[in-house]
Amino acid sequence: MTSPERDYDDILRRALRAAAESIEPAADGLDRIRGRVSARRAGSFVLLAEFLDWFRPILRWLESGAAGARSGLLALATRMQFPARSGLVLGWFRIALARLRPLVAWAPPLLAATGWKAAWQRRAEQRTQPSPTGLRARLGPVFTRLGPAASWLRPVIAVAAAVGIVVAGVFALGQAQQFITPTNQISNPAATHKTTPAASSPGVIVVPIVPASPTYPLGSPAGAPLPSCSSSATPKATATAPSTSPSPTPTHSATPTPTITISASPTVSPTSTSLTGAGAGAYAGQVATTRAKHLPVLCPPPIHASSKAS
Amino acid sequence: MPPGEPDGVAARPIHVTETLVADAAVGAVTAEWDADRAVTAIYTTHYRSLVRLAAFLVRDVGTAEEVVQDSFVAMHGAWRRLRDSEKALSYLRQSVVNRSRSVLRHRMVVDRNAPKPAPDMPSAEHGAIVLMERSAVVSALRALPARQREALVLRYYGDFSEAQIASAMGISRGAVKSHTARAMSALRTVLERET
Repeated sequence: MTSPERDYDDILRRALRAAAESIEPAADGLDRIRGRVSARRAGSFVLLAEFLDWFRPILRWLESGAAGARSGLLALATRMQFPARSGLVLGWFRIALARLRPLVAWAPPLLAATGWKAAWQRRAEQRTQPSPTGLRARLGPVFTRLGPAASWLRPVIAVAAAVGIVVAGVFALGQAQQFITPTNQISNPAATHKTTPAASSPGVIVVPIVPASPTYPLGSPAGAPLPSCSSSATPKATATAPSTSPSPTPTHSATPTPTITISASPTVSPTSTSLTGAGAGAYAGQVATTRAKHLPVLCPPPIHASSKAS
Repeated sequence: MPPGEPDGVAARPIHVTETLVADAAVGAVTAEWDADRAVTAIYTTHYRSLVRLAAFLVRDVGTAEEVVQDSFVAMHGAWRRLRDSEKALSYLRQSVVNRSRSVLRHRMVVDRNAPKPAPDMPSAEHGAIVLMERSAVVSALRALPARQREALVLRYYGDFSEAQIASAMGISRGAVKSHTARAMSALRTVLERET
């Protein structure tokens, strides 16, 4: 190293040290670090308390909404002759929410009693300030105060909320399907699908194709015998539709050769193995035409798609 | 007791470089430390120097304190992994440098988007900057690119080795040499022009 460089090194070193001497950090640095560490420890508890505070009005709203929806569904069920238990799901939901309410009410004080005083005091200080409007404005300071913990808590909360919504939706859909589908089976016990001995013989699988939520029996008069929609693979089926089409036999051949045969007797050849998309579409059109012409009441297609197990 | 010292710590003259070099005595007993005691001990010996180092990088004492405190909090969280004052000090240095870069990056974005203040209204950090810019050398240092400034500050204020600077900056030793050489060249040019 040449001497001018060494001179500059010394100049720079002296200048930096002289400038640094004028910098004095505040005396409360350690307290602030300790406060941040304790706030970070209590971050998850603070977040839980904040979440419960947020959940309380949502709970109230859900409860009242469930009550309103239940009464509305009951009125609709009375009018549409649904069974009266259509509102039971919402009733159970409401009861569950009512049981959650004391938990939500008691959890924040219990969290406060666990000893996270620093975080709780900061939370109380924040509550004394005028509350901002909007979800983001309210949640922003919470995540800011949580510091690094918020970086992983945020996606966790988002995923948990998404999973909760999906589960609730699936549950509600399943319950609704349960309440609507059995209406047909209760009021129309003849609409059971039978299998012939041939179809139920070993090696043959009979798959009944039934619409998930048939709506046809709703307008039937009370006490009137509903037309039987029974389907059978036997030639002696009870369906008495006239054979206007001498050979309504849309046979769709594909590999492995799905053969669907529609005749006056709702018989499906047990040799048909599967119902392909194109074949199903053409068949659906045919059934719709047949229904419109001959069937007095909309019935599920009395079709069994049977397949041979290879 | 001088300002900046925690309660219960005896006042003693602190040499600038003394606090930045890892204390062997402290390092020997760190295996049994828990995170709280480690933070207290390292704060006692290194907090002030780290704040000064950060102040050179971010050009603001208040922000430098925030940066160093955040680094201590991060070190407390990572203590289970560190469990050694040498590693903790290296972690702190690296954290301070990285957070200072983040501050500068954020400040650059804010300055780009915020309306410029009136010329007769000094900003809040103006006083601290003026204090630091008494020296023409520090003023020239401020004009350097961020990486070159980091290299010079770590080398000439911290008295770190090239390996330590490379570790703190997250670059290779060759890059440290390159940054230092370019920074010294630029600094020399500025100072010769002024004199």
